Amino acid sequence: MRTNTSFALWISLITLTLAGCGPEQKKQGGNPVTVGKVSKPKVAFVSNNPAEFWTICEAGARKAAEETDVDLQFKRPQDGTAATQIQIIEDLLVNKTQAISVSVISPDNQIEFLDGVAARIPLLCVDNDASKSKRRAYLGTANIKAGRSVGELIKKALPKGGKIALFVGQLDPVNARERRQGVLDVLEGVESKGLRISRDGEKYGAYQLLGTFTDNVDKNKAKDNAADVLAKNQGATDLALVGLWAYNAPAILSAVTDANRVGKVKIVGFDEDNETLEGIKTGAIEGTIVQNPYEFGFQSVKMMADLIRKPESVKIPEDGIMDIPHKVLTKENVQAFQTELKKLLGK
Amino acid sequence: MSPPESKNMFTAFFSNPTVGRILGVFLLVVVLYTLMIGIEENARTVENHQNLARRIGEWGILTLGVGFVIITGGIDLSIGSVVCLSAVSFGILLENGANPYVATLVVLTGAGLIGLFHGYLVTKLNLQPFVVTLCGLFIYRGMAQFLTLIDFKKWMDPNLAAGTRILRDSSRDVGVGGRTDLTSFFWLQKGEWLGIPTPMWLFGILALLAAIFLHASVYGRYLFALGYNEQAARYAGVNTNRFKVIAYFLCSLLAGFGGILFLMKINSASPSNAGNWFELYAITGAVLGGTSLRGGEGTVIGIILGAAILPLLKTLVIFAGIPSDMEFSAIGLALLLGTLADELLRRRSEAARKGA
Repeated sequence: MRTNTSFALWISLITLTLAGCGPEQKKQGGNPVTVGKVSKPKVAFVSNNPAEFWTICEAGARKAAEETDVDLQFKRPQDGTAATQIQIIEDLLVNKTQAISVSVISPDNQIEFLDGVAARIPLLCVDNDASKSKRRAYLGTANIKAGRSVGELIKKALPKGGKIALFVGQLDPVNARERRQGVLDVLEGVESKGLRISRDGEKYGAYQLLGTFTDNVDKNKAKDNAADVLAKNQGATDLALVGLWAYNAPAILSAVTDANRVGKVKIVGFDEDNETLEGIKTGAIEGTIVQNPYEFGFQSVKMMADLIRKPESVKIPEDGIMDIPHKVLTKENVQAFQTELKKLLGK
Repeated sequence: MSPPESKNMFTAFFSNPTVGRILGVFLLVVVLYTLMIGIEENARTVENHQNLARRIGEWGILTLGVGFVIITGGIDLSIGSVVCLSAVSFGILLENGANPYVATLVVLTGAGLIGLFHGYLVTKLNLQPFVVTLCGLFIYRGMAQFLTLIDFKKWMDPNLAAGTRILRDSSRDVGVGGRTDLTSFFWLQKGEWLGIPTPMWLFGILALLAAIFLHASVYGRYLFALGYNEQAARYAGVNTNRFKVIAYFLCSLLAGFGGILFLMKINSASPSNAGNWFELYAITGAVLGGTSLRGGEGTVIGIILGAAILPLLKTLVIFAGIPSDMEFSAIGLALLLGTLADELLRRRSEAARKGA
């Protein structure tokens, strides 16, 4: 049975090596159950996908973990599915994590699950809320307000009105629906009063909404979508393409560049993808709305630490919503923002 | 495949390649399990074992299905999409107020028909299984996306005005989070009996039936025979086409059932990503469990062990604190090494057998 022994040795050796390359735990002083050491509170952050947005968020979260002396696991579901997100949270619970922040993938259908989590440990929603669940608080951008700022950028780019097309990964997440609503409310010139039915193809003020094109978080498809709209509206000079998720504006810009229509077609983006920022510098993109993912991470980890150590000190408004303000970036202020961002990411 | 006739039963038993393969995957499971409970005290809890059992049950059902097809020397790449289409259809039926038992019946019938269709194309039209099921991979996901476009509530409205649009602008996630009368049915996915989660029970029962079919019935012998050498089996009077169709039918049927469990697990299904990669996970599980892609080889016990590996690895990744960005590489590497070791083991035991 020599073969079997060497086989087992092989596997153990390699798997041990793999297990050993978990720098997260090493960095934080090893296994919290180590004898003789006072273990730190364990908190976790679970994003909704692996986008760069979460790298900035992680920087803020790590900073707060250091300041508040907690043990942080930062997890990103690699395939962006609710099934994977649930599996990660289940495992974190087993691992005696004492507070969790989640960017919820499918809010309406995960309530029962999230309530189960909230019954055991403090649960925060970050970036994408499940407002009907028993989460303690929601930290994130007020998306309708942010959508309104996108609308203002469109108005600035096409003051006489025109055609617009919206691009977003999915319309299921509330943030996508709210941003879309904010845009349309401003174009129509009405106050925002939550979500309502606003159809594609109709006119909002002087602007016709050609459609809302989803790509299921596939950047290639996002580019194809933009290219299709460009092809259908050849020669249009009053066209604005609007990306509502981080990768949409770069995908749009890439399609517009291929079609040789840079500058002729207006682009408005969301979030701070590097290509978006460079596009704003060259003038190809009108502007973008940036959320503050660094603060998402920082504030949520800080709040989780407080909820574990001194829960009475945490002040949360009645509806649980903690607005983390967004910023509008245009050619004037983009350079300063980029410098600050690089400093944050330690580049 | 030859029964041990040697006087030295012990040597014969261990140099049998099938036994060698099972031992290989068994050791891999033991090593992963030992690592998991060694790394983290919390991994020893009952809760963790229940989580794992539930996931192994879910994967196992799919792995079992593809096992049948692989044993016949075929392949089914459409499993993930069948899971997706079943989950989405099941979700839509429930959204529109269907009785869950009726919905299950409808979905399983659909999945079974898909399997028969694959079997027909592979046997009667002699198309390559790889191509047939690869096309299926695209078609069924597309069908799932299209289904979510239809506004059934509007369509079923008796006062529907002529010319009203019943198609939505974009595909959407289906979800049954709003229905409260499904708790008793969802016990099938979320419940437990004697401390063991129901999906594990379901998998156990199905595996037992599969074991009887494959290892204790003459039909199982036909299946292996046709996978090992189709022509020889045909000359021996086996209706090879019929058994191939049965294999594809069972595979899609089980994938359809997996889709139902999937929807119940997360209360929702996204046509764009539900079941993504599941076919590859299932095939990996079956192959690690000793089912040969060349056909004619495989055991239910191996498939059970093979199905346990991926859930174990995924949990290990979290407990070991491996960064999310390295998850795929860690899982892939561990699987590759498992396969390599398995291959080495097989060669040695084959050499030992020839030498004996």
